Amino acid sequence: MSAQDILVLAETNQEALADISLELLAGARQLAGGTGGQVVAVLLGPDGAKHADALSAADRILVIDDLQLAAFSPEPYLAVLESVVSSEGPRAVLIGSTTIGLDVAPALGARLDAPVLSGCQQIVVEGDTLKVTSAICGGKILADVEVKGSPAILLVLPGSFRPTEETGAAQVETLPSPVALKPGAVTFEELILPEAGDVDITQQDVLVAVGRGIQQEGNMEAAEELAHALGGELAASRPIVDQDWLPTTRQVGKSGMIVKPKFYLALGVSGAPEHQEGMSSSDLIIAVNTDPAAPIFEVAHYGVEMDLMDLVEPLTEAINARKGEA
Amino acid sequence: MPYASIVCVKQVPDTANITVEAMKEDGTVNRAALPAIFNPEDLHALETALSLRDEHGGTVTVVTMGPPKAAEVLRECLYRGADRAILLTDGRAAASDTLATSYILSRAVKTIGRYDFVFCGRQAIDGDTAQVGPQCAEKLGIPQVTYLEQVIDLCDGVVRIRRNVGHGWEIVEARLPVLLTVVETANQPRPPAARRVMRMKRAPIEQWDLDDIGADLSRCGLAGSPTKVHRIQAIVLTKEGHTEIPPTEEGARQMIHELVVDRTL
Repeated sequence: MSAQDILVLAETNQEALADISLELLAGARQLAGGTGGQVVAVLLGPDGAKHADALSAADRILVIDDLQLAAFSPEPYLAVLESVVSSEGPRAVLIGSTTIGLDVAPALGARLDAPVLSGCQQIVVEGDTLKVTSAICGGKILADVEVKGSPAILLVLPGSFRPTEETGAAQVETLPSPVALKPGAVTFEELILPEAGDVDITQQDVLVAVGRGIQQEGNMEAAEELAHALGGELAASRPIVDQDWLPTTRQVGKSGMIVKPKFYLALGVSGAPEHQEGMSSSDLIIAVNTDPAAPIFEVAHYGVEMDLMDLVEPLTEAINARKGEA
Repeated sequence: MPYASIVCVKQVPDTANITVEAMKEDGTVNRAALPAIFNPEDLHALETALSLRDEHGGTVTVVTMGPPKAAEVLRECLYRGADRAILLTDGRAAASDTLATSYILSRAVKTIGRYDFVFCGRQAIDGDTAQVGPQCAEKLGIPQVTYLEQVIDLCDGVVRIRRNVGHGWEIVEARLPVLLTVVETANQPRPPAARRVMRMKRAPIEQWDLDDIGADLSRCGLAGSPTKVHRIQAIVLTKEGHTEIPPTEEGARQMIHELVVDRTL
């Protein structure tokens, strides 16, 4: 352990290693290159060891094996992380900007009196300073922030680092919890998943997502026709679901579904970080928006600056015509 | 059984149409350049506290930290039904980051005294950090539950809550006192009541400074803030391989052609 190490909180969901964990690992490798320290991945829970292979590009993997950590609960997680971070004394702790990460990181910072930065997209080491670019105001503004204190706790937006195929020979250390864990004042009772019956947008290869730019409920039908012409389904950003134009099951983003289709067509979606979090790992993203500064263009591979309604019908016709030829 | 609730609220610049010109060099928002509004999720936090009081009895105290103008959101809380409002204003608290802010708010909550619930909005639309609520819970030494969408049940000092965790909902139980952060799908905030507006429009609002809450000055403002904003910039398009498609029929045809060639369709 050294004061130049980079600690990564590996996250799992429903038995599998979450994608964000590999992104954080890639980010940590870059940072450790700058600090000259090691990358230490932390896996919490009795099943932690089975994910160690996927994280072998780390230098060390700490598996904290305790039944209290089997499902996420903020108090046991915090108690363990507080102890691990204090004893490891790393330069930075990378945590995903996810439901779990957002629960844990601020409180961890408060316990350790450590700086916490939300919405981190880029992190660079310059001597004793970390230079972090973080997205604020719904992703419209980027703030360059300098952090000197150690450890810095960085909440990293999904999609900020590209996972690498790199493997290594990480040393795996399975340890009992360094602190005695007992159920906290908050107890988990039950998980409710959304109603079945509607299409599952997380399983679609093609999604056409509509946002505020669609303007009228009457325009939804044309967008759905386009989605079907493309062999996909209609999805939406939060404002559309809030207006009851589509069911919650169609909502993409942090408070909706995380999707990863082969093709994501964003029509009039501004692309706040919460939305990007749900779709930025799509294979191909095309964004159509009248606002050239819309953050959606930041993650899009193709961008069109125009009113989506001028595109939807001609595009549907062109695709149907093309299908007719084939 | 009556419950005492404290709601932390914030007046924020309306960032819906923010541009880089509205930001100051130190990374704070030039409040003069944008209209000031009630942070949206804080209204849902207030409504949650008010409906609990309506059902179980008790009190709702609101507190905000900010310049004197921030008293506007407190008055709005009174119009909507809050029992007591406290403005925490002190030049020495300027430039506080999330750690310093949560320390100051926790001192204010302790000064208010007995409480069963502390409510906060999940996050403020200016910083998007979602840190202050959870950090305040830590400073108070009480448990926290984030993303509250519904209070299902409350009895014998235990609250049963539905929280929105993105891919679904979790039902959790927490012992009081507890800090809860509320999301905007939680409820429909009640509007200001006309009769309360008439009664409260000139009602004095309690004003406290850092000395009143016994704050340690080394933990407030710039001195208590380990993060320093260095530079602010508008979002720039940096994605590699970004292609602009001309908004013409030819452009659309070209795009479809490329998608077919790439076997996307």
